[in-house]
Amino acid sequence: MTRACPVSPGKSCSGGMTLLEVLIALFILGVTTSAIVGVIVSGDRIAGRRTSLSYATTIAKNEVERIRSAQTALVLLADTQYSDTVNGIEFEVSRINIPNDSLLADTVSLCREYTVSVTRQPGPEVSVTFRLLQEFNGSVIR
Amino acid sequence: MARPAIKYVLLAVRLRSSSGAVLPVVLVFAVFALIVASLYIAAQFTIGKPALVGPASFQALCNARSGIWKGIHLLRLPPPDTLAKINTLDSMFNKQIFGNSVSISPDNSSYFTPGDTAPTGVQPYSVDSFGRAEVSLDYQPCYKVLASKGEFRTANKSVRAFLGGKVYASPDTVLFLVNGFLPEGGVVEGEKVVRSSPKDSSAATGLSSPPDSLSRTGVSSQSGSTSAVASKSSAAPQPSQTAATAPEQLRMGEIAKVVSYYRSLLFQKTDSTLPGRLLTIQSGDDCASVPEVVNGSLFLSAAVSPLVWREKRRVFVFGDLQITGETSVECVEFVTTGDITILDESKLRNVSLFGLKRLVIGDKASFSGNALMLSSVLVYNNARIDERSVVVSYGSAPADTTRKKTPFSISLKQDATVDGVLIACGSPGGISTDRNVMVRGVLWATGPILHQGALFGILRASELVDPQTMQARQNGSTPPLKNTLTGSIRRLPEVINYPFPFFMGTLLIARWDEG
Repeated sequence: MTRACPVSPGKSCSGGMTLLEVLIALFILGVTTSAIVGVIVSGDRIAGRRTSLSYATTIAKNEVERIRSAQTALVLLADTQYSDTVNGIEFEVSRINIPNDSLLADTVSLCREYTVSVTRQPGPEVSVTFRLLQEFNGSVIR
Repeated sequence: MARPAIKYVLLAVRLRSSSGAVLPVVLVFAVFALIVASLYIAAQFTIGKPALVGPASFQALCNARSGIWKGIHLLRLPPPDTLAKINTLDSMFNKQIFGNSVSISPDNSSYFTPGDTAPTGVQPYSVDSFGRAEVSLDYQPCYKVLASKGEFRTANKSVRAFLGGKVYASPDTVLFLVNGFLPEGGVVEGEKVVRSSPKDSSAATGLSSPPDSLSRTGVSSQSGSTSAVASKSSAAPQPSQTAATAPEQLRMGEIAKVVSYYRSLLFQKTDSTLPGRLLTIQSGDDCASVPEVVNGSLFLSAAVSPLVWREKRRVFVFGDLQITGETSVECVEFVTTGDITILDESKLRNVSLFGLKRLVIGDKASFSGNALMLSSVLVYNNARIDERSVVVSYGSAPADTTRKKTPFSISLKQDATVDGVLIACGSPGGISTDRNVMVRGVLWATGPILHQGALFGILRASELVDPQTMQARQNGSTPPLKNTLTGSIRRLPEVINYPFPFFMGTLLIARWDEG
């Protein structure tokens, strides 16, 4: 096979793909492809993290609302730990009563400090932790 | 420089020529692919941002809520020099744990000054890495408003707790009288509490003293067939007590404080105002232009088109306030020096009113919120007070001295409907209801009550009078002291959940507002 090469007087043949061109093109393609794959992977990771974070926050909100609703029931909630699953993703939930010295002076109040933590189990590390005060003496008119 | 490059690319991609085509095409596609990838990752971040910010925002909300509890904790703490000695051997130690509720100390102002614009920074938690809150205390006419702003990183959230009063009552209690006589006539379905010693001076003056003795009567359909079922000496007021002792918890000093607070606000605003003029608003678009201080009367009239004003703000009116037509007002607080008149089909929702003169709600107008008037309150025709509102008439303003003398501070006439707590205190401190008036909630008066309508809830008065007694008194005669009822009083089980103003009963959170 012979390649057609336009011949112009006084000019050398410069047409066709040289080995160098092909190598550079392959290099650029490789870099671009790997970059795109990286972007897609990290994008998926962001999306997954976003979903997990959203689920974890929702679970934590539920737990916080559980603490708040106990306010009217005049029930002082103890520490607890349990698992919750949302759309196939498992989360570990913990509610811990934190000692707060500044609240001890108030002998009337049943105000407690809580930490609510939600961690994805197993899988990529996604964890949210919230802190709140809640009173349990029924000081709300219902 | 650019033109030869473009020419080169265009030549290179010509289909008929394969010479030198690979590299430019690859470059073009590579750039395009990178742009697409960048957009993809940017989109992911944009979509994910709310989820990433969400936890911080929720922690800020938790901080704001915690700020409220911390603020209440500080309100409840006694001043440092009056800290009670804790004796764990005391049999009553920590007895509050077993009670239904614990009140917030009403007079403790060592941490918060109502109306103080500078909020108090509080650290709600034992560690400071979860952010903080700023707490301030302000007045509404019938509530104390504890506002908390939670902060965490860049997120901010606000919560307001409206501190009102709660008067504990047995669900069966419908009538509380302090002149020692059982009621005659009318219909009373529920428990009647009659104080046998006619000593109402403590309630009238705001002194909180327990009554001498109580006589409680059983449930019956007709007041004439009542029988005493219990008689006891009262102890110090406890949260679990019935309405028998709770109404004594009116704190006139607190009313005086809130009145003084609003008067001082009016005084401050007066200095910066010019002579008055009438301001008429006929469109919702113009409501934003209503200044903070209206130096003259304010007239909200939806004569042409419906007028809607929904805004959280306080407006001072140095004159009368009149609301007519299909006007809808929400969340605005009006502080006025003149009469407040709400007529036609006006709807006021979640509105606060403080007025030095009268409040008139008439026609088909409706009001919900809280109001403290220094003169009389008149609700007539088909007007309504809705949504567990609180309306207080506190005494008689000097302007009322020219009016016809009447013992009633609050008058409900014709087909008025009330869902809420109406309180007449000070002088004259009476309430009257017409025959077709219906009330759900509480009628509470330091003076007499002329009740001819239907009440579902609790009535408290120094005396129950009928029209004949009133007529006789106006003619100068002195009829014998007795309680005469012409209307009906029936039970309302949820009446214990009706909020009272903060200067009555136990101070608790009446409403919680987040956002």
